[in-house]
Amino acid sequence: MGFKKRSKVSAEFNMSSLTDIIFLLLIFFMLTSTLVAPNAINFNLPGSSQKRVESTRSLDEIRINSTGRYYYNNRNITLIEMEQQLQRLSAGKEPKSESVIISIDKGAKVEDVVAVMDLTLKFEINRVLAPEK
Amino acid sequence: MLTSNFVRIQPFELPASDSKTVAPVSIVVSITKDGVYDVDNAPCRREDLAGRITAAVRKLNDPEHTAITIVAETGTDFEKVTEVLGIAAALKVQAILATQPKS
Repeated sequence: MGFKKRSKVSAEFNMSSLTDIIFLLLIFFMLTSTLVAPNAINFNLPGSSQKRVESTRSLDEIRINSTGRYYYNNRNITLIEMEQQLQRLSAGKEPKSESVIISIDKGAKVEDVVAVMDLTLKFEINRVLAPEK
Repeated sequence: MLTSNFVRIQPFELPASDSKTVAPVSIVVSITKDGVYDVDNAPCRREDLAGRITAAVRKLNDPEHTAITIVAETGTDFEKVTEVLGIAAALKVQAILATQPKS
């Protein structure tokens, strides 16, 4: 009987398709890795190319002491009250049009300063750091 | 992109913030709450800090596109961070403070 001979399945592995996939993955990660921004806070240091804004207006002052207490214009407040205060300050105003001075007492902890800076960033308020020497 | 958020490089807790920033090539200065300093993963004494950072910035030879990433452990006194900020300002390089996302 004239049965057709089954064609044999090749056991060879084609490397070209594998290299295609590798190159696609490489391009994907090269493009996407640039979009990953690390969690960090940027400082505008004096002497850098920042635009100076002259103001004669007195600015609100936030003080952070070594025990982690916050003072808004010399009034002791919690971080939640600070958030409400800053929200009121920025309400209905252009972003970055308001500024606050953050006075940092000797011994104040970095996380307490970051918490306040985070709030000013949230409400788009400029901040001037004034650490105690 | 998805998994990079879960990668923890530092062995200690960082201040929590949702702020994100894109920084140029950076020199990493780590500070622990006990006052142990590292510059680019090499231990450094406090009195050598300015010299080591200056040398690292000069080595990169591009102050405009250089940033100092300050990795300060939770509980670190802010004046230790201020000291590094002062060095960055004197060298006219950017400075950023590393944080971790609020969970």
